[in-house]
Amino acid sequence: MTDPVIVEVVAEAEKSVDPHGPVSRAEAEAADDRSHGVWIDAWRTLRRKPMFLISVGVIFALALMAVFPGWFASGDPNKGVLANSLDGPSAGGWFGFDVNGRNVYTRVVYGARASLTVGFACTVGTTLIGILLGATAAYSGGFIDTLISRIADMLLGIPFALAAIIVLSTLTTFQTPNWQVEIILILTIVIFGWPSIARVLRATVLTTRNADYVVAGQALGLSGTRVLFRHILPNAVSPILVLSTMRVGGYIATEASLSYLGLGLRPPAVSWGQMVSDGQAYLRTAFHVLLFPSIFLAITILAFVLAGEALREALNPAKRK
Amino acid sequence: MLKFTGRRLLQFIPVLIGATIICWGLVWALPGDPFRGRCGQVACSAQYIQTMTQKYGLDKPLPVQYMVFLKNMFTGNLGQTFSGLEISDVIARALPVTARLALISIVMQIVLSAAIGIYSGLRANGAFDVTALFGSLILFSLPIFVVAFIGQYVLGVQLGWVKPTVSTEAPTSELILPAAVLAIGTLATLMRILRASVEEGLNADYLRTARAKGFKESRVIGVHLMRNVMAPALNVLGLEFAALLGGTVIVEGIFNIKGIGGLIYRAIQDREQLTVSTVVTLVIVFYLVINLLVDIACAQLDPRSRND
Repeated sequence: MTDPVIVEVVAEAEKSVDPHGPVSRAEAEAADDRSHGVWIDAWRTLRRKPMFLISVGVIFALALMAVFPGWFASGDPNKGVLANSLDGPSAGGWFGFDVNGRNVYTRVVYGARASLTVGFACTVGTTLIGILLGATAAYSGGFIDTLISRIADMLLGIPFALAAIIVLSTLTTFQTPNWQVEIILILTIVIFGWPSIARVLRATVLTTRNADYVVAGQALGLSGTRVLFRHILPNAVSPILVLSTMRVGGYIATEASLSYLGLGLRPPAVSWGQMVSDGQAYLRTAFHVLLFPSIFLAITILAFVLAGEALREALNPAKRK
Repeated sequence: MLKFTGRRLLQFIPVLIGATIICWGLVWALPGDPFRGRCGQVACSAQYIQTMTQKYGLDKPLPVQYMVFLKNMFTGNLGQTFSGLEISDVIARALPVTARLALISIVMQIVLSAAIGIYSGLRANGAFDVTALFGSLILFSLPIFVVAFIGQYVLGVQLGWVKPTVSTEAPTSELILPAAVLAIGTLATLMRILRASVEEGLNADYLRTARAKGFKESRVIGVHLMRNVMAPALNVLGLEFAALLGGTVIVEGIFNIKGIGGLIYRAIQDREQLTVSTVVTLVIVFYLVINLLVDIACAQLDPRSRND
């Protein structure tokens, strides 16, 4: 699989310099810069994909909801009227009321912030660290590869639930403010989560490392980091994109599971995880308490996955026309 | 390959030491005294606390305690829990249950994700693919305890097809529902990865070559394509299997399964450093062996992934 862009670069580089002299690194890099690169190509394809635009629109709307919840719902998410306890959806409360008579719609809107922050921060953190260390391990090989892979093994081998339970119960008490709990939660997930991304990326980079376009880049005298970031990564990143975009939802669900164990965010903070974990107790009597936060969770996950899927297709050089 | 395997086996040692030190330190850092709350309604006497602390060596410096743990590991005498049970007995009761649960769940994942993922990849963006995507994502987006409760309620209580909770002997028929619940969590990820690799592989040169050679379509897909798309899925599957063997606190709790997850959870709550570290060491050994097997399999499937 030869990347057409690189072939072009080689041809250009040959034209622009003395054909008999060696190509200096600066000249090779200048030629490399002239090809506009896979990311810009991908953006040109993506602009015209309805599925991508809709997903991004949904993500944008959810982000707005997280930043300005007051635009979408009026009232206090923690104000409960016990007379309304477990009432179903009505004109007064579109999604019904929970056991404390709090408006589920208002709570879903206000819960977006905590849930999206956890989902997004954990995904960005694990993916960046995972890509960086995974790619470095595969590309450098030898001792660095061994070191990174074994540290990853140490962290992956410890069951996540165990690590999360210990870290959260050591570092947080009932008095800990929620923003601190949230930061500790995110850091715990990132520290124990990056190795799985790194492992998958390492496997993919290893299969890409000896491809023709990589050898061509190296032959041109491009630096190791440049070859890695400009030529190997864009071609090795597709399994990671599938994993990462799904993980946004996975991490929101993780926060929910930790809430269920009593270790996640606590009232008065509102999060979808907490709502789902509260709602499961009324599964048989008031299904709507569980249903609506779950629907929002599903929509969020779907939007991220479909956007990731479109990005993956756009980045795949074999599909470019 | 032998040299590679040997080197990896040697590397188990630093990984195990590192991971057990992390565990040891984490449990040690937990607030509270392990013996203060062991006397029921009355406060424990200072004498009792002192005797127990000495008996389990908790008065010694942390590094010395760790060395004792290492010595235990090498001599095979794993020591006792604070209730006086042999740790090896406790593990021997919990492990078979967890192992069977993990095995059933992983078989379900392999069968379902292979069937659905590969078929979706071959007919990408068709009706089946889209339905599978949305269906799996909706299941994936529910936290595991919700799936567990819904499964338990609908299949166990309302329809009465399975027993809602698992009895102490944990016969395989009762483990099917919890295994299915566990499978749902990762099924979507596995399916997406397989689908993505299959779809990508369909456009690859090696597939055109295989077709040009005149192989039957079933051989082209079944051998040539599969060999190239299995590596990423195998990696995820290996991680998942290891995680399942490490126990699942929530699902075990909901279905009343007496497995490794609950064992670790209770040991953490009782501040039993020795029990936690011993069980986690075992879990990490499983993880390392499974991953070594996955790496060997990947190197066999795809020579490009050999990094030596």
